[in-house]
Amino acid sequence: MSNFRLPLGFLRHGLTLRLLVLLLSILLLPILQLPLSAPAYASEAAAVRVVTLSNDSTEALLALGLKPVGATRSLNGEPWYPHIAHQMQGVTVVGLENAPNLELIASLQPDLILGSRQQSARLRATLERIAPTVLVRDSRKGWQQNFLIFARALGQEQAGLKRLAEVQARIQCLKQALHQQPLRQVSVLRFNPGQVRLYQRDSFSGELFAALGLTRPASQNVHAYGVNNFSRERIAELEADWLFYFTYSARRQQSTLLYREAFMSDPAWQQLSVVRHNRVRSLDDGIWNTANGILAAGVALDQIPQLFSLAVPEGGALCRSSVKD
Amino acid sequence: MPEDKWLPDRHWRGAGLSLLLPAGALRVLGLLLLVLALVSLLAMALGPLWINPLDLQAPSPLQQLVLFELRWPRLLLGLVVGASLAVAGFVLQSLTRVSIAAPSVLGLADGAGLSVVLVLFAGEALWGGQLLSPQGMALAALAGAVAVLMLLRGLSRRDGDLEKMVFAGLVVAAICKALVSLLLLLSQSDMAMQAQIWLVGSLAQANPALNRWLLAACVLLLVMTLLNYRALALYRLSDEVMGSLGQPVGISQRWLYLLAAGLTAIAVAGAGQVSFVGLVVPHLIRRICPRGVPAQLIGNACGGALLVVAADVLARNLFSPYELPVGIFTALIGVPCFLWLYGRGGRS
Repeated sequence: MSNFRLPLGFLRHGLTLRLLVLLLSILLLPILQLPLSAPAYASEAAAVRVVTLSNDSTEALLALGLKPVGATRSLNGEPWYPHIAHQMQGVTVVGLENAPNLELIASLQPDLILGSRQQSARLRATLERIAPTVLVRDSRKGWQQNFLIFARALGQEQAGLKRLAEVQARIQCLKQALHQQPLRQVSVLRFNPGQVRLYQRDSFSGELFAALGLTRPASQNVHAYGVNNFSRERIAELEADWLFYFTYSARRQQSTLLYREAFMSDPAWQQLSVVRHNRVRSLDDGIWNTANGILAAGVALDQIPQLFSLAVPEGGALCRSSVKD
Repeated sequence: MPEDKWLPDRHWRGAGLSLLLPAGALRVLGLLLLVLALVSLLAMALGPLWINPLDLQAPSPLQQLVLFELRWPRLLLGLVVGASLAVAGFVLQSLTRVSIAAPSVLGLADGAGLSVVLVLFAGEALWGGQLLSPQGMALAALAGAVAVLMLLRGLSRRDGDLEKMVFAGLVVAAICKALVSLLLLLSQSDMAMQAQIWLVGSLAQANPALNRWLLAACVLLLVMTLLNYRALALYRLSDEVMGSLGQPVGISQRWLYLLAAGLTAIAVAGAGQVSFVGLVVPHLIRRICPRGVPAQLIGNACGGALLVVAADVLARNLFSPYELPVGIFTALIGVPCFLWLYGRGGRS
């Protein structure tokens, strides 16, 4: 027990400790002096190599006739959503939207990185060291503005405005067609594993429906993304002229399908007049909900005449775009 | 010999640095450091781009970028987070004398996490989504951890029942978890997804600006903990022994709890919540390095760093290009090691 006797022993061990601290700080010195080189941006003259961290930015590139060198995997895709897969051959998968592989991105030596803050804000400092980075606020909200931000970042503002104007013209055309029929209120929800989410106006589908001049039931006519854990007791609030639903699509989605079946066999659901009139439609979760891009918007608009049983003129499609994707 | 009067005591020759770092412990620590160095080299070398860090005459700009901007900050953050969590766990286990005490069990990590999420949401509401600086994040985490600590100490003040305090910690941890879930569910904002990533635990956001602060704070707190080895050694016996030896119980206790909270906050601010390190590593180190508090402290710092860095190497490379949260692998590596060592200890 001699260590515990004061004060001489303490001083002795104090010396040991001081030596240790000295040793530690010597070990730490090289750590602090490691060179932190300046961001190594590639030259701007070269062909633009872009890495996209969110699907809306991927679609912005494709819509402008460009192709990313690397992109994060589509949420429901293997690895790409079907509607963009044919344009994505040879593109490197750089991880998931919420966990991109920074090293892989660096090794592609991009000139520009596009993405969204809602997914990538915490990585911004590191991304900036790889290449100039442009992040939109939230992919799920304001897809038209987001598209223009990406177009501007790519130096293609005019082409972007033109592309967007085409889509807006189609929306106006479809809006007029929809106004010629009486059923204009839509309800939107999503079957997630073990829960239902009600969708509101500040979502991709919400913005599309609003642009098409369609209205929403009161609980959905709110400027917000949506409501999680939508209770069965509130099924009556879903009443509308049309009821659209997405289904969370993972590879093994059996439990979600069973949950959907149970939800739809609820007596309250069966009593909805929209159900009784057979105006419930399933929408593709990728196109209408998770892709968030301008190409997905185009595909969604293609589906409108059929979804709302609009009269299609002889021999032609209703409000089709003149430009092929 | 002229060196003789230099040396701490006569145990130097062949018997270790001193009574505090006996030869056996030195061997174990040396081995731990060696393994840590090897795994760190591996962490620098492995990735989508294979780089041999020992063979770098003229690194290309890309190699420089990957090594110094991506892998090095990440490795450093892993070292800091692992060392902080393990030492915090060791200090808490010593103070409470409860073997399951750890930053995550006592609710310190959850309190820090809740605080960070709250500040994230407040920042979103007040400054239009300006992401907080790393320093702000670290301070928020510290505030959360200290708040939980004060709550626990207040609860157990009347009877000083340490077991009760650990139990209260479990309860507080559960409440913090529930509040975070509630916040995430209620929030409409895009912050929810970011907050979620914070809570899972990941080293991906490592960057030099963040590391500079966390490293400085971590070294400072580790050295301060090391300087308190004497009080820690006595707490491992009991409060009475401590009082009878003339150590002021209350002051050093408060100080050590604060150090543990600070270390937890560093880890949470750096990487979110990384599970199992603070719980498992102190037990592992006790098995392989049974002697002396200073040796154990250093061993915990090395062991925690080793576990987190090794877990991150796996998390980054196993399913490339997809990265997994590092917390999955700290549990997957740490728990089997722990069970194996425990089983072995039981037989001998």
